[in-house]
Amino acid sequence: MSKRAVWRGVSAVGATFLALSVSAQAVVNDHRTDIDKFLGTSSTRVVTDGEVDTSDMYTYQSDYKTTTELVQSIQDLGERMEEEGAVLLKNDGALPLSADETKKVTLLGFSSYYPIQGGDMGSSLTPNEGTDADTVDLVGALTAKGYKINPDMQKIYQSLESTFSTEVETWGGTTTYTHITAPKIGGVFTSKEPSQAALDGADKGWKDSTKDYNTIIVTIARSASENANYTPGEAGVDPSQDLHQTDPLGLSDDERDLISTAASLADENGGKLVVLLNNASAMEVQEIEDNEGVDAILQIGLPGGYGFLGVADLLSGAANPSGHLTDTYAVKASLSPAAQNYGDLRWANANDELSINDALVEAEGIYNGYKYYETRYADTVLGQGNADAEVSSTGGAWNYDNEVTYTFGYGLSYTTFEQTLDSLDVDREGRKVTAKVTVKNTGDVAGKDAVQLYVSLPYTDHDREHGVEKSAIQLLDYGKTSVLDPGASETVTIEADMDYMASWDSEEDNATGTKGTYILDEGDYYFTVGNGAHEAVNNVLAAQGADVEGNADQVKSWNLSDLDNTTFANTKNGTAVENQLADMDLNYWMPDTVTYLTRNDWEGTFPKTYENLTATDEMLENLDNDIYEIGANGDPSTITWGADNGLTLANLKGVTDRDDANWDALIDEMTLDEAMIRTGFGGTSTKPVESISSPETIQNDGPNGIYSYPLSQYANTDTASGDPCAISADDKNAGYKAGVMTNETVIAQTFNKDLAHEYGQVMGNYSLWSNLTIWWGIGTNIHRLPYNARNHEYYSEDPVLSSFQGAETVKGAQQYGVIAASKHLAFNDTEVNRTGVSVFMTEQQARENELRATQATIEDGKALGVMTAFNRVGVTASNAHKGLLVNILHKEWGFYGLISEDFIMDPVYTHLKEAVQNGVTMMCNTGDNTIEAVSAYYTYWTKDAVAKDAGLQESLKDDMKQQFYAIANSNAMDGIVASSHLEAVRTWYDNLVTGMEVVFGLLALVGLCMMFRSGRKQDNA
Amino acid sequence: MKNKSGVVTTCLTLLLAVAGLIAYFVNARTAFFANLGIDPLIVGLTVVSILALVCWFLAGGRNRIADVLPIIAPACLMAAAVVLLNSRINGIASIMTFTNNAQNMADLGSGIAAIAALFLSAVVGMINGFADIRK
Repeated sequence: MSKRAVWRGVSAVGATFLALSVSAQAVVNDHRTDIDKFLGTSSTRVVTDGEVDTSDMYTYQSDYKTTTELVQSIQDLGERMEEEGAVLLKNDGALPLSADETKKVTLLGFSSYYPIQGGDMGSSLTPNEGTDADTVDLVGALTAKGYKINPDMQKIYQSLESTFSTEVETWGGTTTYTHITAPKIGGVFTSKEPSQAALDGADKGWKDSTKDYNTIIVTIARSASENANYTPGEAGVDPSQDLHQTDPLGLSDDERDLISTAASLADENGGKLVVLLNNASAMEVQEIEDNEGVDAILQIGLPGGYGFLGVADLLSGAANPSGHLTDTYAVKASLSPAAQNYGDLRWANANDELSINDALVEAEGIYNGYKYYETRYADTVLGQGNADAEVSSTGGAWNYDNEVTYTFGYGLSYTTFEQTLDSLDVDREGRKVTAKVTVKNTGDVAGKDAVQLYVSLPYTDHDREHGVEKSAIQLLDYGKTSVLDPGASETVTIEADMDYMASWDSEEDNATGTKGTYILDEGDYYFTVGNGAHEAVNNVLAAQGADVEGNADQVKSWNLSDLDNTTFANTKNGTAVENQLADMDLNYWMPDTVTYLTRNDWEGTFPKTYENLTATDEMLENLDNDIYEIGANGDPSTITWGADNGLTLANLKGVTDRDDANWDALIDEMTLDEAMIRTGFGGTSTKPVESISSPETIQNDGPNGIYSYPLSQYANTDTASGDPCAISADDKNAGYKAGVMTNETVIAQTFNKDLAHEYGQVMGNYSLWSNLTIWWGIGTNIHRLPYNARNHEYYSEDPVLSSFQGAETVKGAQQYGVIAASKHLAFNDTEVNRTGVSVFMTEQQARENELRATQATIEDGKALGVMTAFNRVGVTASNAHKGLLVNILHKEWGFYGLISEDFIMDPVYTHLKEAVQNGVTMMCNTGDNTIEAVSAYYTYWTKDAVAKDAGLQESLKDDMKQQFYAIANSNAMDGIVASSHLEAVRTWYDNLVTGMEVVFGLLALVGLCMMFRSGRKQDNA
Repeated sequence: MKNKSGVVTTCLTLLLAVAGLIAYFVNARTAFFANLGIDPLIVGLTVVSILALVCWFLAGGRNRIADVLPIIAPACLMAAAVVLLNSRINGIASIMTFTNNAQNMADLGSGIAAIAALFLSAVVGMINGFADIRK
């Protein structure tokens, strides 16, 4: 090799690495925040000039002095949440276990050893080890509580681990799960339960080991996950298995055999059999209920990191179950009206480049979950609407007992309670229903009881004419007693919000001269209490004179002589309502296409499956993601940017008056560039904004706790700073992540608002110590069907229960300066093709089911954050739907704060220009902090274009005002005062890149010079 | 005249660069990435490197000025690879987490192939810098 070639090579290497370094600088700039998160570095810091009184710097104060107190309080709540949230479904006297029985426990089923504690993805458990509150599984919890577990069976299951592990292939590697997993989109459920032959193969004598350990606990699990899905019926089951499994949420032969064998062993050995259901999606468990060998069934949800400690206490009787189901457990869930339209329902003219994929027609109307089962039941009793037709029955004429295993709201206790509805007052003007319910413990064990207040609304000719549907029973509100000793009583007072018993009538005239308002029909309203919706509807039917097993004495009625279309025609903040979601009804675009289910004719209107629909040209005009054209609009000279008003965000710290003139003055200081960049490149945090000295505010998942980063990543480690929540660098809990709470279904199953509130409070405290402010922790989509594998991140099939639990958690968290946010607004009912799926429904269904689940978190909880949804609202992306975001969220409900889109990475489907006008304050895309970068990403988002559009600029200013209002009223401002400002920090990786540029630049240059020199010598030679 | 190892490395670099460019065009037409369009910088850098390699091959080491061509080529290819990677990072993050499904993974496949081919071509291109093409 000649010297010339060597130097040429050296120069090539230098030049190539120089190119790498220079272009890497762009990568660093584009993804600086995420790089900082990954590396634990910081590219900005807040500097406060002069001496300040640190006592004024920290608005929000923790309840705890140390991280030990903090994490142990989370642990304590996790245990209590499970104790109140697990639901005892069956108990033939087997539970609680005696002290002796806890010393001879055999755990069967691989899920006993490898349980589901959180989602496979999303609200996953964050295991904590070596902290002051280490997470535990079932074995760990039972051991900690003094149980003695059959060691032979434990070894056998450990030896079989490879047979029930699941490998998920991903780019960059394989993830192995040893617990059962939820099917990927388009995938099927594969039963992993070891067969009896497999157990015999591992140890022929395994059954003998149960002689001394005859308290048998079998765990049956179904996992949960974001971006996963159960397909209804046999189509959702692995066809390569021949295990007579008719539904992924039903049992396989291996699970059946396990339960049968366990029942036999318990019987032979004089023991007992308890089945734990470890699931978030309601399962098909009629055969377990019917199995006389099964002595007890306890539904434990996904217990998180500490819930199994609560399960242990429930089994031993140290705690008494008081949870109630938040979902209907149907005999065959695939027969429900909602299930007729679920899955991958493609448009005939799908176009994936525009995210036009599926059309999901929710033809069931309001009849979701118990509202379907109990209303159809009521109509069979009343003999109306062809309710007993064979359509969608498990066989023969439709009969409730053949269709439902456990109803919504059902749950048992170790004691018995007697509830008496003492009084009920309706204050229509005050929009309140006040119920007083006396609860007496009539058994011999102390315990709590949930009071479920239900209402039955009249179904009238007006409703039939206007297409208004009425559930025969619906939850209006609820409460929970304190621990009642045997014989003790407590009167629970429930002040229910009448707004939630008004019905949306899309055809009724309203005060604004348009159509659509909330109504109360004339007629009799029945209020009752009961252990679940079925008992409640039976009470009402009994009061109406039907021959059913109901208690008419538990019912109070109230009569309204005339239809009321005015009381609820304005929302709580005085906004007049009108139809906002008419375009969600497919019949709006394609007349007479959809027949919605009505109780007027169950047989004739039972939903058919709508698939291969063809979007019309008019629909495609919205579906093409280009709704608004930026252009000359208004007088841009009236808009002020870049003013010097001498304000920083800290001047507005804690200012809740939205009309304070300083808000406008502050936002005037921002530049148009900043506003355009910050809305377009939101990313996973609100970035620092120099002009107003706003700090970066970090976003975090999720519904099972703040878990995106360890406690120490953003914590203040300067213990001399005066920050009461500063931690030392070697804090034992520095690596703690708070994704440890029971899943949301369990939180709802407590029927305890105080616990939901307390959950918000402990997360609020965690937020103060970890400096993690934005919490996407309130999952308020409803369980339309159990097949949505993401149900673990949502509360219930019932919107009121969802909304009230969510609102309490928001209130608790925001006491500590968290920006608590509900998600996903709205109609995110499926994970299948969720980016783009068009969801269609009636406005009544939208408002009374889906939106009601979020409503209280905004109206009552005053949440400062909201996340929009991946899906479309009809044919319009959720970011772009003005009716939903502007007219309902902001105007009707009064939302004011930060809105982020979900993780949408497509610059077109994001709908930035429309989203900005609808109050979405930040997209999830990221990029360099320059106007050129944001304009390159969104080609229409140029400064030239936006500068001409005064209306769009007004929207930008309003968005920024709302976003910074949320931040100013959050704990992100702790430690910051008016004299604070932001300073850029050169991180070690900035220095590395610069160093590389210099070194490789020199190398390239030297190589080049030497190459030419060598070449000259060569020529001369 | 004797062909040296430079012919092999030049051809290999050329092949990988063309493959990377084709994979990029394919990727830019997939549903997931279509809305990002085609970045002229990536295309420009790759085309420059291809032209440099072709000229280098044709010059056959007879022109001293042409010695800069095998220096320019891998530098342009490396820059193209990093720019492409940068434009796909958000998509990769999304597909590996929230939008993971078979179709998106397939869409991502061509993007990964393009990035890999361009990186590899830059590496081979650096080696090519040490190799003479004719004597």
